Amino acid sequence: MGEARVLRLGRFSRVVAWRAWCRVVAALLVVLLILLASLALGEAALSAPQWLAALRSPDSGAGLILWQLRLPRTLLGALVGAALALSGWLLQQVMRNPLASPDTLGVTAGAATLAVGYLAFLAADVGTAWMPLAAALGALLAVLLVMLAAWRGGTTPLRLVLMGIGLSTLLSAVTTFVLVSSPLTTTLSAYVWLTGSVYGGNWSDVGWLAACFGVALVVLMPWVRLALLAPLDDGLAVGIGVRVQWTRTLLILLAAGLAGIAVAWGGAMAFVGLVAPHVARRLLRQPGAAQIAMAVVVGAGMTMAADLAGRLLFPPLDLPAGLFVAAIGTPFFLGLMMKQAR
Amino acid sequence: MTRTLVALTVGAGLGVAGGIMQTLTRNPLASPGLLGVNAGALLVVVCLATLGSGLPGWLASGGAFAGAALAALAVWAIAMRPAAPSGPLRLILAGAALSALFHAFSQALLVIDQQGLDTMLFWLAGSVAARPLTQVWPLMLVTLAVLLACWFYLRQWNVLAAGEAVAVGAGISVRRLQLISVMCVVLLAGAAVAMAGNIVFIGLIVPHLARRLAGPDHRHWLPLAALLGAALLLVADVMSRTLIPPREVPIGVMTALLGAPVFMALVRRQGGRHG
Repeated sequence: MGEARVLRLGRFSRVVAWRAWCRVVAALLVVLLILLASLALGEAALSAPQWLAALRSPDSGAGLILWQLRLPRTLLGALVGAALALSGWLLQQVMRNPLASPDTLGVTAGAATLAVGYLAFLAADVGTAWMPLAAALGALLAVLLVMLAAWRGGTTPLRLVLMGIGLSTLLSAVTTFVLVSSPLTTTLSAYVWLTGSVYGGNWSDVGWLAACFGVALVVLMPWVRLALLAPLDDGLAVGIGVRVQWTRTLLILLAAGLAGIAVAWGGAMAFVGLVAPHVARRLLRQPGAAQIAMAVVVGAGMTMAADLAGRLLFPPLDLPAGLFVAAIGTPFFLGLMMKQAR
Repeated sequence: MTRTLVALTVGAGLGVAGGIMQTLTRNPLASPGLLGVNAGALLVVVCLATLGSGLPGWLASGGAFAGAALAALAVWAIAMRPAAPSGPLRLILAGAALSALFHAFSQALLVIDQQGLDTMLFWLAGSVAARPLTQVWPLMLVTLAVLLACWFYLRQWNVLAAGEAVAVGAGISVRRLQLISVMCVVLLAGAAVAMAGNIVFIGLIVPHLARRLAGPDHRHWLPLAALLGAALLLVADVMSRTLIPPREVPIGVMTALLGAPVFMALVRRQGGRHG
């Protein structure tokens, strides 16, 4: 981005890519606009004055819609998107391949298997409250399995991806089997989850997800530099003093955790993790903290927009946001593949 | 009886389709399941089923072919470019992403059309059960015809496997051979999906087994792959019926359960070399 300035505060000093951060802020503003639109539009559309009034009085009818229905749901979508985008960015760095995503490591498939199993066998007795836990657990277990299977005195990106795909196929077969053998109502709710939806998100969901996301961010912070070095060739990385295997394992587990919690609350919204980092890279070519922030912002914006579209486009229906994520992602993805192939 | 016949044809078709793809892309992990050809065919069928419920059988089959062709085209566009630094990985990743995408759309459509879900689900999982013979015999004929047609190209594939430059030198029109091979794959995989839904791993593993048994000569291992594919799917079918007696495990689930461990062992053995 050319223009870099040095920020000094006492003994703390950093080089800040000024222009890059300006773009991030601009993107953030766009996302805020989507947020506002998402609050105002819906089955009961609110005009600007109504909207302001509702904002001030949470107990009125419109206020209730705003504060208890739309805001938590939108925020949940934003958090899910942000976490998936961050996870996708990390994985694409570590795998050295722009087509990697939380799907390719079996994260989504693992979460789906345990979540659907939970819905089919336990939900009747225990209630659905623990489903996010089941999904997150499934995601982590799947990644651990993949790493274990790919470990032969260390892992390589190729082995990891292949194992991930193999395990994903196996797990999705198991999921299908559970779906086929369970009653239709379970199947339906499981399918909505599989497509990815933030319908009916409430404040406690938002709180939990925000807390998990925050913890993951704090854990990630010291290792961001290593993630920036991950695309280097193994030999070169060892040469400049990176513990390659250790770093790779750590970053993958972190990414899996992020995707796991996102999927746990938002359902298997596959394409955010693949597409958002690309959009970010298109907007900011230079890898760095600003690019990560951009990926997070783009991911949040994408899911919010998809959720909004799901609510608005076919009025009586409330379509799952995952459908629109896929619809936005497809043309982009195809374009990407064509460009890469050249 | 019908069921056994369907299992035999589908198995043979998938085995050969996988073998051709592996030769064509020079990638030992290529197969209709992993590269999204199956998923493409499924998506179009689900689309058609959502649009009209009283669907004539031939339209569904046609849709399966169209979807398979679409996906194959996309994958081919990637695979046929000069190899990039991360060649084999890129192809597999692109295929995986592609099939994830198709599956996402199929799922979304099924969420919208909830009545369709129940009938489609078992078929999505892959099943050779309960199809009247009148509905499947054209597809069987297609599969058999393509398999016979493949017989004439075995020699040329042998040369192609030695490298494109060699093939050109031997006087083979490489473009035409590639086109024909892709068409064979599309027809075989499309017919298999139209008959039996989504059956994974057969197309991936059978060619490897066949090569191990019969050596690298296409004239020997490709017919063997057809036989092995048919046998394997038949075994899977029998197991799917007898494993949990009153019920039936979908055969696609069965092949995944059998195939995934083999696949992972395969990767462990060979995958490391590409680093």
